[in-house]
Amino acid sequence: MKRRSIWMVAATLLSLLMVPFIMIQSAYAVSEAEDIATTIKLRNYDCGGRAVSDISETEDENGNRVIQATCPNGRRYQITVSSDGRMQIQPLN
Amino acid sequence: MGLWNARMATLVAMFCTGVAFVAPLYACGQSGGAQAAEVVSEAVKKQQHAHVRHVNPTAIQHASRQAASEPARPAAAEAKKEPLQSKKVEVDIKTLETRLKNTDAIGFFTKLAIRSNIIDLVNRIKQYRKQSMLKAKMKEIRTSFDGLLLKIIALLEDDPKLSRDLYVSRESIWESLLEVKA
Repeated sequence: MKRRSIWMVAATLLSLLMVPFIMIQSAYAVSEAEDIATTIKLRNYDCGGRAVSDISETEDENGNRVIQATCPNGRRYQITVSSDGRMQIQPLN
Repeated sequence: MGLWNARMATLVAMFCTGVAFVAPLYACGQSGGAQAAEVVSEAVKKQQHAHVRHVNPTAIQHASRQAASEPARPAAAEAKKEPLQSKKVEVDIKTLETRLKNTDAIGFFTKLAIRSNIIDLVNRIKQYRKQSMLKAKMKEIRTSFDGLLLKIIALLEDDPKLSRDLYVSRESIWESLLEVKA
């Protein structure tokens, strides 16, 4: 029984040591919602927050990637990424 | 009962230690994320400040010359030193480009947006060159370039080394942009 509790404490301590590493990695990763919001702002459109919501992604007949997302201010945008990597943003409302 | 108490104590210790670790990281992540999200507006503000700083020294120098001729000299000397220092920096633009492509500080779409903004700027330069208006529009293009660079630097908050390298090599980047021919 004593050996079991020692093992439990050791496992707990080990998992606690892992916490900062896991948290640091997640703290610096950029989510897709944040990435799209930053993109909208970078192309000089108003977004009103740091992350978008309601993201939908499709591909049109020309092979362009079409992403639609809603900003925190309620504005919905369409982001079109052409096959050569050029990006266009259109407000939808 | 003794084992139960030991387990409870372990759980409490785990919770407290977890909170102690997570709280500062969460706060850091929150502030970092919020800053990353507001980068564009901040960058624009910084640009405006830079603009004000750029414009004001002449007025300040003029006023200070009227008040006393001596203080104006060091300010003028500093203004002369700054462009010289930035011109000294030799960088490999290709390496910077690769580092920008590979950085985790910004997302895929942001990288594409930066690329599109740079292509737009190069196209404007080409267009003005064709119309023989490049010299006349140089100040306007340089302002756009500075604004874009500030935005990129602000976005690269989590990659300070790359951010710094981009800043110190801004003159080389500007020159390489101007070298792009039709």
